[in-house]
Amino acid sequence: MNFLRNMLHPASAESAGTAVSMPESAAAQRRERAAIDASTRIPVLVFYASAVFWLLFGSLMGLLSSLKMHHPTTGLLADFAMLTFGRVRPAHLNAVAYGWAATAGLGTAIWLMARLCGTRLVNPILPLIAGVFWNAGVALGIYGVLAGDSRSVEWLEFPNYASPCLFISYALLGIWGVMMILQRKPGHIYVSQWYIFAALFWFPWLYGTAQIMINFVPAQGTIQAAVNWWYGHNALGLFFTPIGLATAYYFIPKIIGRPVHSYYLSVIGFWSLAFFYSWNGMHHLIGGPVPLWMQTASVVASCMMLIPVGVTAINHHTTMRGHFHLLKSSPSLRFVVFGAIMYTATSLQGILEAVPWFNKLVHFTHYTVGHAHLGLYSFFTMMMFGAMYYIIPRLVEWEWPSARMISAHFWLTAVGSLLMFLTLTVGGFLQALALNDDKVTFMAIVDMVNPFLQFRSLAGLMMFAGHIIFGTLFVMMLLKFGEKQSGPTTLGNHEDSSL
Amino acid sequence: MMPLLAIAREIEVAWPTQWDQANPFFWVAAGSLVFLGVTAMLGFYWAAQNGQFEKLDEASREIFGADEPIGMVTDRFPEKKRK
Repeated sequence: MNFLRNMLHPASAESAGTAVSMPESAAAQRRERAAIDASTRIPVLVFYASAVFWLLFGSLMGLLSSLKMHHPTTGLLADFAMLTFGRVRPAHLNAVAYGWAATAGLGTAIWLMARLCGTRLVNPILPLIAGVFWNAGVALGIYGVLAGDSRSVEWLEFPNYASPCLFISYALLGIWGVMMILQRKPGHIYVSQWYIFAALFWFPWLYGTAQIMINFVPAQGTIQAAVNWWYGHNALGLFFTPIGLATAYYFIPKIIGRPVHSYYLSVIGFWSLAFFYSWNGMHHLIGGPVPLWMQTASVVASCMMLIPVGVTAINHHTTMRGHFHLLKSSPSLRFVVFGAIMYTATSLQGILEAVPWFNKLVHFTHYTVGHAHLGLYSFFTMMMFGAMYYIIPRLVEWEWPSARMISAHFWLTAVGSLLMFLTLTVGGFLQALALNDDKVTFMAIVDMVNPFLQFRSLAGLMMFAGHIIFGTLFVMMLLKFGEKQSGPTTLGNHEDSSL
Repeated sequence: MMPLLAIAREIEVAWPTQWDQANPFFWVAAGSLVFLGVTAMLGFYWAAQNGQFEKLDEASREIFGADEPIGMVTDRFPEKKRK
C-alpha cells in the first residue's frame, strides 16, 4: 500500500530533497529534478514492471528452445503443440524483443526525455495508455504465436490481430514525444534526445510500413523478403540502437561527472546513423533473388557504418579514460560501459558479416545467431539493466537492497552472454566451413555442432539465473524491502562523493 | 539530349500503364521512402537553422546542474553509499 500511495503522491519527492544541506540554488534544482523524476513514476514503472515480466517469460522460452536444439529426440515437452520448437522459438524472440527490450527501452526513453527536456511529464496519461496497449499487443501476439497463428516472417511473427495494438501504442508515444520536445526548456537538444526522438519517430513508420506490405496488402514474391529484412534490420538499427546509445550518452557522463569527451563526434555519429543505417537491411539477402544493386547499396551502406560506430566508440572510450576505476563502485556504470563496449563489438562484427565473401560463408549458421545475441543482449539488454539500476531508486525513493545480488546479476549475465556469443561464433564458424565442404555429411555437421549448443544452453541458464535475481531485486524495490536508508540515491546524499 | 530521351523512354516503359493496375505496395514503399528522406532532411535543416550545431561544448554540459555539477559521481553500490 505504501508503494501505491507513494506512486500516487509524487509530491513527497519535492519535500524530501531539502534534507541535504547545499546552496539554495542547488537545492531548488534538486527539488525540481526530483519532481521531474516523480512525474514519470507511474508510466515508467508500468513499462519496467511489464518488461521484467516479459524478460523472465522470454528467457524461459529461450532456454526451452535451446534445450530442444540438442535434445530433439527426448520429447522435451514435445507432446504439447504450444511448446514445440517451431512455436517456442519465435515466442522467445518476440517476448524478449517486443516484450522486454522494447518495453524497457520505452520506459527509459520516457524518463530520459523528461529529464533532458527539463520539464515534468506532459500528458502522462498518453504514455500510460501506450503502455497498456503495448502490453496488450505483446500478450495477444505471444498467445497467437504459441497457438499456431504465427506469420512465419522473422521479427514480424505476431498475427494480424496483435499488430494494431502495438501500432496504436507507438503512435501515441510518437505524439507524446513531439509534445515533450515542444515543451522542453530552451537551449540545445542533447544528443540523447535526438536519438530518442528519432527512435520514437522512426519505429511507427517502420512497423506500419512493414505490416502493410507484408500482412495487410502483401507485396509479391521476393519483395516480401526485401521488406522483411528492411524492417528486421532497421528495428535493430533505428529503434534499439538509438535508445541504447541515448542511454550511453546520458549515463556515462552523468555517472562519472564528466561531459562527453567530444560532443562534435556525437553529433556526427547521430546524423551518420540517420543517413546510412536505413540502407543496411538488404545485406541479409546477399546471394538471394533480389536485384544486385539493392545488395550492393546495402553492403556499401553497411561499411559506411564505420563512421557512426567509430566515432561513438572513440567518444565513449575517451570519456571514460581515467575513470575506469568507478566500474568497481557503480552498478549502473558497470552495465552501461559493458553495453557500450559490446555495441562497438557487435557493430564491427555486423560490418564484417555484410562483406559478401564472409556473408556467403557464415550466413544460415549459428554464427549469425551469436551476432544477434551480442547486439540485442550484450549491448542493448545490458544497457537497459544499467539504466534501470540508476532510474528505479529515483522513482520509488528507495535504495537497492543488496549489492551482492546486483554483482551476481552482472557477472551471471555478462559471463553468460559472452559464453553464448563465443560458443555460437566458434560453433557457427566451424559449421560454416563444414557446410561448404561437400565431403562432410549433414549429420556429421549436426554431431559436430551439438556440444556448442549444449554450452549455449549452459550460457542461457546463467543468464536466466541472472534475470531471476534481477526480477527479485525489482520486486523488493517495489515493496520497499528492508530499512529506509538515510541517503538513498533518489535524494542524492552526495556530500561525500568527491571522487 | 539523346540520353535524356532514352531515360524518359525507360521510365515510360517501367511506369504502370494503368493507374488501377499499379501494385499498392509500390505506393506504400515510395511514400515511406519519401517520408523518411524528407523528414530527415527537414530535421537536419531545422537543427542547422536553430543553432543546434553551434557552441557544442556548452551542449555537452547541459546534463549537469548546480545540484549535480561536473565532477560529482552520481551512482554507487548501496552498501558503499552507507559509508
